[in-house]
Amino acid sequence: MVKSMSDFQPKIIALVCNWCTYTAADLAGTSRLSYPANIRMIRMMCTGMIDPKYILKAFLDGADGVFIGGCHPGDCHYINGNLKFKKRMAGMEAIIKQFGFDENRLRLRWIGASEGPEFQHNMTDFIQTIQDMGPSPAQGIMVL
Amino acid sequence: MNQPANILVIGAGISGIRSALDLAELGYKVCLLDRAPAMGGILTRLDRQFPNNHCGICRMLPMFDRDNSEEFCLRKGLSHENIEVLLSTEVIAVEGNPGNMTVTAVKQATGVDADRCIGCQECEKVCPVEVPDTFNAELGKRKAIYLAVPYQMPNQRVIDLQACTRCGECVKVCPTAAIDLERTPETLTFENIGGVVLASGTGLFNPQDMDIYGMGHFPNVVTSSAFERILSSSGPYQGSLIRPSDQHPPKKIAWIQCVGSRNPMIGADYCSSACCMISIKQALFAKERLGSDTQTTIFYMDMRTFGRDYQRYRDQAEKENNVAFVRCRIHSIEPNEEEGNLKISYVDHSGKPVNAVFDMAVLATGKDPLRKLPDFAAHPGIIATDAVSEWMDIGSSVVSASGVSERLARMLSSAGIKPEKQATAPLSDKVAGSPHLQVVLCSCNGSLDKVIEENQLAAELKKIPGRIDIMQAKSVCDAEGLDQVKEILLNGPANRVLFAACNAQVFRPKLKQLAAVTGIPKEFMDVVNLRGLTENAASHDLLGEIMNQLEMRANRLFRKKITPADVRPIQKTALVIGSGPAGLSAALALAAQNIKVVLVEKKETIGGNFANIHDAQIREMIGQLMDEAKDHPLITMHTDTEVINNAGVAGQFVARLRHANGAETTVLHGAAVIATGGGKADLPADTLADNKIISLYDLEAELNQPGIDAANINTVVFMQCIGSREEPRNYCSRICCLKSLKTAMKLKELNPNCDIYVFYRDMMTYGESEKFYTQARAKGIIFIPFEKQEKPAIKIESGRVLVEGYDPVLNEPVCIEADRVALASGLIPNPVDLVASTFHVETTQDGFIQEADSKWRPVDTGREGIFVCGLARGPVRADEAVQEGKAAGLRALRILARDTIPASQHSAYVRHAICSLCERCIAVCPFDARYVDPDLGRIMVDPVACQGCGVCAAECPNGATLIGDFEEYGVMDEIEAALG
Repeated sequence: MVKSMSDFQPKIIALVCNWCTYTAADLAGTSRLSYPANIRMIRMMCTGMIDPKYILKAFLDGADGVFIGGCHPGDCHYINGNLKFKKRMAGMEAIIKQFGFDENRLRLRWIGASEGPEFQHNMTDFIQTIQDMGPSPAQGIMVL
Repeated sequence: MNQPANILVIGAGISGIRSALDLAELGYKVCLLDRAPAMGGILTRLDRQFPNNHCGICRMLPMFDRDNSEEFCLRKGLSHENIEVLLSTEVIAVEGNPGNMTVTAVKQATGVDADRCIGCQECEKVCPVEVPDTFNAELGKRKAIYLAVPYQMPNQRVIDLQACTRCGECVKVCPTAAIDLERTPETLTFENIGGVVLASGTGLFNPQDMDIYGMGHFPNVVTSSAFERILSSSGPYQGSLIRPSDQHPPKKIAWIQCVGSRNPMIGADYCSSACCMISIKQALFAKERLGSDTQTTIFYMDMRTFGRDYQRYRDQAEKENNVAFVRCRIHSIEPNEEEGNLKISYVDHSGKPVNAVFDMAVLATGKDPLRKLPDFAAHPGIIATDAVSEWMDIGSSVVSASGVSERLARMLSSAGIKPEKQATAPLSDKVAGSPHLQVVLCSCNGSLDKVIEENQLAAELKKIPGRIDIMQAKSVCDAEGLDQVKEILLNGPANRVLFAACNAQVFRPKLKQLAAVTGIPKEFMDVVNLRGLTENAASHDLLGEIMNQLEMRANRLFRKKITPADVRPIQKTALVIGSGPAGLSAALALAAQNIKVVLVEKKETIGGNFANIHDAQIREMIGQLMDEAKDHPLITMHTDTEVINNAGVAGQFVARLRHANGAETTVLHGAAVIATGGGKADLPADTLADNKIISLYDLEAELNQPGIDAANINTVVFMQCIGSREEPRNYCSRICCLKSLKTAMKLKELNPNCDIYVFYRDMMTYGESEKFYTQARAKGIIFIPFEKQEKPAIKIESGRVLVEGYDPVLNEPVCIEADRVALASGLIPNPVDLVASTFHVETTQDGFIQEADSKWRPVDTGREGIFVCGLARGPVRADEAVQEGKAAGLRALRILARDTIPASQHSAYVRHAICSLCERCIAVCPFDARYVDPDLGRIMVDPVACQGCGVCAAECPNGATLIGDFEEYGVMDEIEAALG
């Protein structure tokens, strides 16, 4: 079923670092900075633990977008896990493209613990981007 | 916390948190008090710290036995099994003796019952009273009922009872009846307290108290702490750098140093130590936020960049980022005609008067001169951190706090108070059985009924595969509701629990209680924030949303397994390398706690630079340490010895020592402290062209000779920073300025007619040593500043030694004929190449040992079990080296005081059957926690060093490495549920 653009509510998986972005998300919550409810947040201890499989799995299971939120370079609790993920990121963009997903559906941003407004802004912006792109081609095509 | 506290820590800022964690990690029960309604002190108001502009507060958390504390950002708060945090509480009296003290405190009424408040913010929405937001330096507004710190977890509100009008609106809307406006303060008595740490800080000077620089009159004059808030995303302007008067971004910003510091007129004859670096950092951030064309000017007397990496930070700000530095104490700030702008008049480097207009001015404030220590501060059994008398940067506060923890631990053990072994609740037999989940749906006293139909939710839940029981509760916040849950868990078949209630962090302490009673481990319990989800009421599919969350968590709980405890004995011996004040202090700290110490010294004698030290006080301090160490039955000394090899993991190392005669011995140890020290830097040969030109050290030695006659020493010139603070040795040696002052005053004592001139770049008399600078000037010693590029010249003309410089006060050249020229050559570390490669630790470009984090883990290295202190880490005074030694000893003690160290829940493990031994995981591990066991042919994980970051698991091509609680199948399930 092809949904019309207006009622397209994208499904977005956000894999976020426990130490920074997850705190920012909480802060956005307590500061009443609202953002669309399309985000399913999954807490990781560090972006460095995000296996490329998780991203592929999310896309193949029908996510319209995958957002990764990590600590600013230098702030990582585990020294440099965020930068290790960043290295993987370039490869991931190439891989999801081969599966037929636009690489813009995958986004990595650094959001520090005190950056509640940045979290809100990033979420709103990403959802808008995905809404503009329309539903992921996985929906209705692939059954996995 | 089941047992009462042994120790009270007063003040929950950086020092208090560090000290509380140190003692809690040793197994003591600690009560951490703060009179503020939130913990964190000044820390919560800072986003990023110099000298790397990063944040790393979380690095203070325990690195092993991590399950005892919650792993989350420390801005949210601190949660540790052995620490009870009491906020809005102030100690009023202390009685008794060390080992058995009675402490009385008053817990202020906050109007909100912390056990019932669920942080839903309904009260805040209806509160009609608005007051200036103190957290944000009064730059915004908050309600009378408010959250003291925006990140705080649990996010329970408090009432500002002075502002509250008792209108009762909040009482009406509170869903859990948590608000009681009539509550009165409560007196708390703590008995059988072994010792008290006083870590209440120095307060922060408020320029408004003394009507300085138009603070309070001109809106665009702000303090540096207000500027931190302006920079912060959680600040009054959501992180936009705008000025208060018109909310426009400033184009020209001035920083004015030493506001309320270095001013004996107001009783502030001290330097606040950290403000110079804070201002540089703020100027850099201003440039980063507003563009490099933003004009940033720092008005200073001396830029005190005395930390190891600080001079390079300043140089970079000056050269690469064009931060302007003007040496001038500003008289006043005047309003300019233009709306909100500020006029600052000063004299520039060439002596020209300048009238500059700035859009904004930041006052660099530090220690509050009006702050007094509490009456009980001197009571025996109370140990104060240095940060209650001196304002200091984070790294120094952390070192000092750990030094205090060491003293307190020593006091307790000599009083016979030992940490009690933690009684872990026995696991229920049910836990080993197949997963059976109990879901508890909380209606939050019926308030959630309005938004969700719980029956419908229950019906949906039954569709999740697996054995699930569902229970609906009116409220699980109160004892009655929680008892019902306990009952069901004790008598029913369930061995896992999922609460659909409120904020997980608010709820988590209750899980611990439940775990203790039911024998179901808290790792088998989870919470979904039902209330948080319903607040997103605009959601198109609320039920779907909630079900997703519940299913995600349920799946994770179904997968939970009990990991067998890794029992790993600890080798209760410490290896200390170096026997200067740092090494000796570390050795004595450990020996005092019954740990055997092997002390290795490369030279023939112990004591480090003892032979070269002339200051009587310091000699006595080090001499005492030497005597104590020599006599201590638990300390074995090896002089003329080097460590040539070290292998193993924290708790179980094997080191090989080589003695002068070529013989080798093996030492089994659990932790090592590197204290290899350093010494005076040599002067370049060409500077010593005449025997009147000597090093500062030599002049000091000369004046300390018995019976010295200084009558012929009539003119002496001191020259600072010879070879220091410029490449290649671009760091401040920390000791020279004070040494020059002390030597100069000694000279004045010996020969009051002696003319003394000190050529300096920046007098680095930080903290209390500022007093020596004040005294020296009072004694008529003349201080002449110079810049790095305009050094005074030393000339020799027909046997006369002349120093030619430029005096900016006289605004003309000066030429001084000197009887002595003393050159301050500074400090260099002893060579560390061998020790660094032996212990696999990093070094800095200047040849010091690199610590794990200069702020938050200053005496740890990148390798667990290896610590560093004193001159091996960076320039320090002898007394600072002692503090670092104590701190390093205490860090090592956390490991050595234990019998075993259990692996934490979030740790890596390897499924050897599918491991291909490619060793990629070893290469990527940031903590050196993985290695190949050559006998077993397997990849091993060191459970002490492993932090559970999961990089190994993500990089493993076979999925052979997994992370406890974040196993890939669990995450995959979660993703599937999220998209279901």
